[in-house]
Amino acid sequence: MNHQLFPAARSTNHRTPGETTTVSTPTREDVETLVLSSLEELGAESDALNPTATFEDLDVDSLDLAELSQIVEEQYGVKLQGEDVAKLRTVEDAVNLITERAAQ
Amino acid sequence: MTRAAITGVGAVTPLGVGADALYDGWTAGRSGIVDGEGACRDFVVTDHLTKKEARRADRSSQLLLAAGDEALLQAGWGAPRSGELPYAPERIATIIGSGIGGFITLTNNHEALLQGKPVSPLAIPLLMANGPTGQIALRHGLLGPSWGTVSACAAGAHAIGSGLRELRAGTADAVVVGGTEAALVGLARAGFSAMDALSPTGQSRPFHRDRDGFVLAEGAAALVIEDEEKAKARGATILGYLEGVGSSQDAHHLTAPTPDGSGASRAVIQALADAGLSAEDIDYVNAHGTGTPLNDRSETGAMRIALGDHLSSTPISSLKSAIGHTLGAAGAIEAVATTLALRDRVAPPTLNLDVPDPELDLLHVVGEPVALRETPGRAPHALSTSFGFGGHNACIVLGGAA
Repeated sequence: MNHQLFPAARSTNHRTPGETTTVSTPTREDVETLVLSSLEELGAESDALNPTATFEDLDVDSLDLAELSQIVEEQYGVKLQGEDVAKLRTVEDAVNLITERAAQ
Repeated sequence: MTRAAITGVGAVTPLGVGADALYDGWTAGRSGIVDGEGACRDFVVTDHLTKKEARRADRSSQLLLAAGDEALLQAGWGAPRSGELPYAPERIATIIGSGIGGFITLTNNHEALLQGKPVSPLAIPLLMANGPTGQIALRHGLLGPSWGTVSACAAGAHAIGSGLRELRAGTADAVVVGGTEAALVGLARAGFSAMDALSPTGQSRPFHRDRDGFVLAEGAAALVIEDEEKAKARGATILGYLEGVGSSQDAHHLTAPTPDGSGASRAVIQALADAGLSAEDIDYVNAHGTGTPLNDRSETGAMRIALGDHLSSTPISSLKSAIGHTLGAAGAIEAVATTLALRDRVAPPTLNLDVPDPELDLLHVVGEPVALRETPGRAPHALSTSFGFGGHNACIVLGGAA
């Protein structure tokens, strides 16, 4: 019987099998798609999800952002530090930061 | 002294979702055990929690939150955050017991760690044993005294007893108490099996001659308990009373109970004294009755010491025969079932008891529920016992409503 309602490792959601964690530099569009789909996966209301939405409006808190950071690291090899994440207010802020870091 | 009125009960168990599913199933002699385990197969998390709430709750908390919603709704406290709490939130305590805590979260994340995968930021808040208490307080905005109880299979009963003491101390007008466990995981199965505690035949047969261990189960229960005067003042329906609590420690062995039951008997005697009752006032015993050879023998001894000759004329039964052993939830689930049995003035049966152990001199209830003895001028009283590995014993006294 499988009671695994909380997947311990959901970081494989955005990868195809066999792909490695370091991929070619993602476009801003790629990052936005990943961030939006991840937030939806984390339980944010899909109706309210758009690039300009604030995390406060989406009821996305520090634990959600910590999970998002893990997904992003797994996907792009980009490490977001606590202070970076603390400054983020909107989905767009996150997309911009991740895109910028991934290009470095 | 403050009288503690039970105004709401809720449960999610292998017999179904809801306190009625539990009680009706048990009294009808139905078993929730399938393939040697008691899983809450009817529980659909999305019926109770949003996607985000569910992700942020270990299964032990998910079960508890559903049971809690039921109990608070029955008490007339409304849906979560509906603004219908009858007391100042600072005056409502929350105390929930769990044997282990978020066992599923723990093992899943440990597996992830060993595989070099990320450990979730939710791992710690979801696996900690006080998590369910925090979750139910957060869900309903309850701000009073709050902690979890940890005493293995006595945790649910200890939570209820602790709630009674908060009420009596005047630190709360009402308490939300209960227990929860979701430990149907490989590590639990292997660990309990390794110590010969689990039934190798997968049968839950408390007090049976051929009993061979307990059946692992999951579940949760919650009770809303209020200062009787305040409950009456607001016109609440009183389902029953929490009349006393006792607890003790064996200091005998890591897991085995005292062979003669003397350790557990002290919890029972203390509970009776706390309720201001004598042995002769007890009309029903809701036994811990796990179906392990050691427990049932020790428990019989404990009851003999505490109740004396009165034990021979007091019906006794074990809910674990119908749902298995829900560990830290058991005391709370049994309190809910016993409250409803007292309401109906019956003693539900022990299932699977075709051949009682002749060495256990008890008045078993087999087959149909039996009517409780009636005493003019008072409602019936029942004992519910819970004993945990580590030598922890707890006993609560419950009373029927008039």
